[in-house]
Amino acid sequence: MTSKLPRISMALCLAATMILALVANIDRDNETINTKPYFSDDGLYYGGGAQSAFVTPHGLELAMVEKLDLFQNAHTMLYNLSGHASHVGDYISQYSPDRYFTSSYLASIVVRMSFGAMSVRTAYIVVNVGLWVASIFFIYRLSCFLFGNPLASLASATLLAGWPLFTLMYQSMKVQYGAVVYLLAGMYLYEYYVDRQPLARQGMFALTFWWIGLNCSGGAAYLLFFLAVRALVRWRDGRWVGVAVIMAMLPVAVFLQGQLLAHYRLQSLLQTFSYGAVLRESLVTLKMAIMGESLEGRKFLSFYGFSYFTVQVPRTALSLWHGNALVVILGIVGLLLRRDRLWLALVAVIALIVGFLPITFIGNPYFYAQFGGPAMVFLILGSGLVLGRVASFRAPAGTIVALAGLIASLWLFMSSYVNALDYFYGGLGYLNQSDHVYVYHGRTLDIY
Amino acid sequence: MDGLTRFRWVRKVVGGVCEASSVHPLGRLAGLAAFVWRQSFAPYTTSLFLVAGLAVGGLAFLVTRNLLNIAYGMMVYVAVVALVSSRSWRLAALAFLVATTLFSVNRPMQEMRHINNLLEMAPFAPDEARAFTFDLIDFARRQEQCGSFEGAVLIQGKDLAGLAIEVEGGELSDATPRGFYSYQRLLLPIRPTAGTVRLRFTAKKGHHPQLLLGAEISGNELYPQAVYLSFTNRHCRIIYHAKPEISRGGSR
Repeated sequence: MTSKLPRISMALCLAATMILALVANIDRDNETINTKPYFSDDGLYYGGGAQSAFVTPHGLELAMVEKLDLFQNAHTMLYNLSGHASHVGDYISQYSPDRYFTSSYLASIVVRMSFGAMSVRTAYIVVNVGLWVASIFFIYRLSCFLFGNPLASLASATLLAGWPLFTLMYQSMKVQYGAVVYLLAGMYLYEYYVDRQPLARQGMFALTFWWIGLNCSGGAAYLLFFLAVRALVRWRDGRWVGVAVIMAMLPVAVFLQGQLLAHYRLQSLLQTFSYGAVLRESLVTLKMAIMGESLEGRKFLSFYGFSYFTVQVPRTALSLWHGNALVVILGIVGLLLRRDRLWLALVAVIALIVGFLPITFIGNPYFYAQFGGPAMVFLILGSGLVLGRVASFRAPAGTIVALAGLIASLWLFMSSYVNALDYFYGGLGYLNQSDHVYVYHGRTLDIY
Repeated sequence: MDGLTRFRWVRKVVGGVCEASSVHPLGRLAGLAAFVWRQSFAPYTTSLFLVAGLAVGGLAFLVTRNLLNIAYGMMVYVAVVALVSSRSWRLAALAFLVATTLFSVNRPMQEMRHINNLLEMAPFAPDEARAFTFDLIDFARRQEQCGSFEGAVLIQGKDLAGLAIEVEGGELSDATPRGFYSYQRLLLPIRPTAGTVRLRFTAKKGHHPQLLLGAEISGNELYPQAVYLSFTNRHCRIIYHAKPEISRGGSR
């Protein structure tokens, strides 16, 4: 019984976290709420960036403008479009559509599974909960593969279950965290299945999976770097041919994606990046710095001077600290614990930098803490390893200490709803920092 | 071993037929058919499944013309065929492809109500006055609970310096509007002196102030104009919304 104690207590902790997170957050449309101006003194659109509302039996419910495309596209996925003279306009997007096509597709699949009985809004909730549960499974299995410690796997799964990146988003339509799910799914499938397939089938799988990743909040970029670092660091494994085949499929997937978007006259996210201009200017800035010339007015990676390194990168790293300081500390320790897994720390650093590259290449230095999400995945894996090792050290004392660490980490993730919103959407105090928000419309009160 | 029997599949044929000689002729026939399937098509099942998927995808395109949905279906299908060798899984994936690409679902869009366009403004007529009455419900209780607050009137709009503001039930301090996107944001510190704060806005002479029209909603009630009260400290924030009462001719 004593040997089972750590595993049973950690499994119970995981179950309790999942129930608590679900009950506390399932009824809140945080995607809309976070755009309310009263979460920030710096100002957002009055009314929450909305201009229309869903009509429901309980009254009107605001629909933030950015989700309307996803809502409509999920419906379009269900329809027979053969009667349309032109297919331009079948799928719509105010922004780059390929970021979120996958979320619309998943919602449409759920509606199909209900034979059309379920509404698209409810289907999105099912999708979000499903992706959350799937991610818990993926990180559990990944941790098993990487560390071979079931307690570490349970601890990682529990931390992911309480992570606001998922728990705030049960009613989301944009599914902005899709990149994290994609990365987890990609790493899991690669380690357990893809790696063992014949080359042709690795290529087949890669083509399709890259394509899905190109439509999934930039998820393909994170997986690309994971595979590249893994192949470079572990080149003795002799699987680099498979990795080369997988990598070779990426341009093919990009081409197919381009053709599809051209069919609908939509612009890809990749087309909005000004790689050339940003890189050219960065090289000139670098050259001027080397020559000792003045850098006044010059930009490097869209930031003046070298403030990309002095401001943006530290701010990026600090966003993780702001998200959960304990997970960051434990995660770094955990990633350094095993020599054969040190490369994961390198992937975490690259994921952090890559997360913020899209806004850099678009030329918009806006800060978005959730871009640190993929890096946080590796810190959660590292934290899980530390907690798992402590738990297995000596029962019951080790178990108690590990549970205390796990609960403290969960507390930092889950105790403050407003802080969690801030972490997800702003970071570093961009949004309101009060612990509780009371919003009165006449006598009607909403508490956050 | 010599001749053809050095090949494993030939030995299987010979062995299979010999072993089957003691069973029922129909069973033997079925065994032979299964064997022919395995030997003829098993090495090619991945290709066969891919061809089947392409056929379904092509047919779906002819029927529905929903290219994006078909592309997703195909990608999921090919990914499954590439990853798993089990025939039942592959057949399930093929069934998924058929169900999600060949058949449509007529799910009407949920009813929506258009409220305002983003960045739409409500300009003041020269003789117009807009009054907002805020009942500071639970204010004293929240102060006991959270400590003292810093209060502010928050206004979004244009030419906000051109607003003449009268206040009842509080003391306002001056502030300068700050630019925010294509409009302005004005944050006026306020200290309430009563349980109800009433703000009355008119346009100063020579100015054309406008208030941003938002989509703030509670139930079916719309609170359209971007004027609200905010009381904040480190622990709590209280927000009060009110609807405007519009009057003409400068009367209260």
